[in-house]
Amino acid sequence: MIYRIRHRTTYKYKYPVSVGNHVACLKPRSLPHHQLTGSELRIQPPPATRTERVDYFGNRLCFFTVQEPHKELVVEARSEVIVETNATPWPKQSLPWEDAAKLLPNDQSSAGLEAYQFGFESPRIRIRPEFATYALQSI
Amino acid sequence: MTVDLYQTPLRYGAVYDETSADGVTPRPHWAHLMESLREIGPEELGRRWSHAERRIRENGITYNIYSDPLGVNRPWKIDIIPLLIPADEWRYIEAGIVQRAQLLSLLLEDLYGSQDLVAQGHFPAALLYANPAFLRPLVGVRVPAHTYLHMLAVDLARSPDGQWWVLADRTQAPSGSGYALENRTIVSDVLPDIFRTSNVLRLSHFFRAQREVLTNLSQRKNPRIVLLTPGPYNETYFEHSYIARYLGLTLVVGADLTVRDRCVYLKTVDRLEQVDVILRRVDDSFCDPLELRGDSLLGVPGMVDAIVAGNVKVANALGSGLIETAAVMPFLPGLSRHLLGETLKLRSVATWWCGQQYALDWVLDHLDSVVVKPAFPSRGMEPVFAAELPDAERSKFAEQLRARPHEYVAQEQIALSTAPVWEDGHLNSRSVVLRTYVLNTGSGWIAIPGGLTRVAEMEGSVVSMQRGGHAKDAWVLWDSPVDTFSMLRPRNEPVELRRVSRVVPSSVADNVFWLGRYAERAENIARILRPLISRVRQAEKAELGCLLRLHSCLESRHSKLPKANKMSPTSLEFEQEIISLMSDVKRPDSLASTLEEVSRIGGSVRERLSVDMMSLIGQLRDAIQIGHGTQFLEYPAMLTACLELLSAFSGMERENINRGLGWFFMTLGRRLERAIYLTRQLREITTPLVEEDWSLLECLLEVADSSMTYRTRYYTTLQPLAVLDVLMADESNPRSLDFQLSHLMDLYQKLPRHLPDDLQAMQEALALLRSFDLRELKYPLPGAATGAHDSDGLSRLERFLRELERLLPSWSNNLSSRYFSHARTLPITIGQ
Repeated sequence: MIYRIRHRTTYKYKYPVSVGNHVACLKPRSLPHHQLTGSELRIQPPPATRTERVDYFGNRLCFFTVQEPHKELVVEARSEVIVETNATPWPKQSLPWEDAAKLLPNDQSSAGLEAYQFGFESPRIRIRPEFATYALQSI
Repeated sequence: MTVDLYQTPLRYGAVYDETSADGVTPRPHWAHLMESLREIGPEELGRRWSHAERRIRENGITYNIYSDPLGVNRPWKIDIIPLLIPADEWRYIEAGIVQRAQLLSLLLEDLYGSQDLVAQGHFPAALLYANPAFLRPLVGVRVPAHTYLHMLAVDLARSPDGQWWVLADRTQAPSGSGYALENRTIVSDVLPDIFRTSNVLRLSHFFRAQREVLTNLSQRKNPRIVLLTPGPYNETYFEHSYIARYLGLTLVVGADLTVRDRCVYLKTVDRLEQVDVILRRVDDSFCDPLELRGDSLLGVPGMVDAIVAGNVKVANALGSGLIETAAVMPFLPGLSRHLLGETLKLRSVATWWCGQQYALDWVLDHLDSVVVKPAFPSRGMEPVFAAELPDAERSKFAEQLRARPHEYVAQEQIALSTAPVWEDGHLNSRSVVLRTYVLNTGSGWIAIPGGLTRVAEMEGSVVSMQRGGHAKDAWVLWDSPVDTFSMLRPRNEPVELRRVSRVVPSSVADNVFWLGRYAERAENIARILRPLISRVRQAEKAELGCLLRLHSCLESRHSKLPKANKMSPTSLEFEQEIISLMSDVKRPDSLASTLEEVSRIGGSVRERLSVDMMSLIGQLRDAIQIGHGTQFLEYPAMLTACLELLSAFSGMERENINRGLGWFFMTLGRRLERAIYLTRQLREITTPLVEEDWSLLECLLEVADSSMTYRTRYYTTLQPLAVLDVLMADESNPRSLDFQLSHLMDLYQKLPRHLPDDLQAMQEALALLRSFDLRELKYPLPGAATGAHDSDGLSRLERFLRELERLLPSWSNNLSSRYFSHARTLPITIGQ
């Protein structure tokens, strides 16, 4: 399946912004089950500088600076991704979640650690009892 | 023999007394000081103490405690009796803190690098991953070898058996070394003989090394090094400015810096100057709102990216707050053996990180004997003494611990040792904590000999600067000759004469520009209010209209006049509006609020203003005081007094400030603001006046302080065109529009890299202004029949003023863009 993704955000400011440093995290990744075949990022007003960097998680971030006074900023990303149709893992081929939850804290392999770190709160989202209640219902 | 100086009886056995083992004989290293103090005697000590207090006030030492109503200007308390540390003991402490710095530095290097310690089980993965201070954008970023920690502060306390223990490590932006330095200068000044004869290890060596280390962090020849402070409202701002001056660094706030093309620049009025090294006193996550905390106003957007690109070095490295938690402490002995092959020399107080099952069980069993703290301090939580909680809350708290064990750390409490402080003519015994500092020189580590001794406010209470307390000097009494080098310039050494002061950071120019604008705005509001207040009570219905027109010159956006009859309020409503305009601090356009702005901005550039100007600013802040008992009759006098202060301020501005770039921007602000108000007032005249509004002319002359000029020329005949001539075209009147525009042009021509487009627009505007021949103009006099043709010139003038009213703020914006925020300016020219 081929997906064409268009993502457009318009920022409007009450007063003119003279200089703006931004980072866009809008580029889909290429992973075993999906392939990025094309992407472009359009920014208006055109930025004075623009660089790309791979972040901790492997995302490709685009840093750009708009250096002229503006009251509106438009960021538009267009991407094309080919997704394999049968990419979902079969339940029978993977570990039950109860076992995974038990094993993970003691798994010091690099794959284990890589997975374990996502079990914690992020700086912005605190885990709440409501989340657990919701998750338990969904099993 | 020491007892006679003490006011309170000493209790022995429960705590370690630094000065004496038995309460009678001083310990050998205290004997000299105690004997000398006794010789000086309480009276003389008291005299010297008040001398020191005065000096502290003069130096403006402040320690802002957030909840203190006195806030920013509260003098920080210093004690004149130093804490004494003998040479052998210092050698032991120094070796311990240096080893600790090596260890913590290696730990950071691993956690932000290969993370082998986690994979091998030396450091718990959960303590890394759950920690919000683990800054993922900084993982894998190249930091010059072993420089994660530029400086480390270690808090030490002594238990009753005489053993030193580590209470806490400060790894991200350790504060207090500047206070240690300031303490030293004051105490050695108050007790010069004792200081000279005690063979005390000097501090200057440490700071000289620090300057050198910062320079070497950059590969460039003459690197620009800045000290990044959270600003004047931070509790240790004084220290930041003190250290910056001592080390010769530029003191900046986040807004002074900007990132362009992956490099950090300092915005100065002249240009953008690249910054190579940032010594930061801003906490990790606040340093970059773009990649770290989005709500931070203290940082520099893009700083992380500039670090990643290797274009700027930050000390301490961003992310070093990761291990600024007691939760790390239980793992240090093991890490020390693993990483250094040594046993840990200085032990931490007993600590349990509840993320480990056995530690949690132990803590729950012994909840009453420990203090529980957050494992991740950025989450913000006060220490909990479970023993003090009522039963219900206690079990609720235990529940919290079980629910998120990895967020808590428990510590044993130490009975702190005591040392004497000088209070009310006596020595009192107070608990102390010693904050020590270690500096990474690149080739090794050196410690500040001694450090900052912090004293508890009350006997036995928790020691913390944030909770209010004293600080005292710590003297290391050396056993061999000491180097007496000082970095403070001796008085007899000649200085190189300089005419131009160093760089003017954009933020300073920005602030003085707005100081000029607000001072002028306050004056204009007060000048407009004065005729309003003196006339409003006597005003007939007809005259009220004229006062309303004068009121409209303020263009008040927060008017209290009822919306329905804005154009024809009752005189009571109007009177209330005027009182509110004068005194209501809740509306931003009132005189009281404007004066508050003057004082706020003045405070932020206090280093650039004279003591007299600051004192005037203080008086201005309190100039408008209206309480329940204030009579309406008192208002005019209050306004007059306020105007006198404002005149004194502008007089000082003219006569006492050096004509540097700072002064230019202040005057630019004043001229622009005055021109804006003048233009509005003139437009009231160019809109033809009806007969009832004739007295507006008189008010406007009074507002512009030009009644005398007018009367000497025209006696008492009030004519709109004559008033226009005085207020608009008369180039010799410092309150005319012509005067403002020509002065603005002068100033623009002298600006570095001036704004040619705006200057040209200004020239055109002035030429246009001068092209109006007021003698040729026909003013429609009330009652007389006029044709459209007659008022043609007048409406052209009206259009010109309207255009100018639009232009003036845009010139102000362009100044901001070019000199303060360094953005491109858009050309704006005057329309015809």
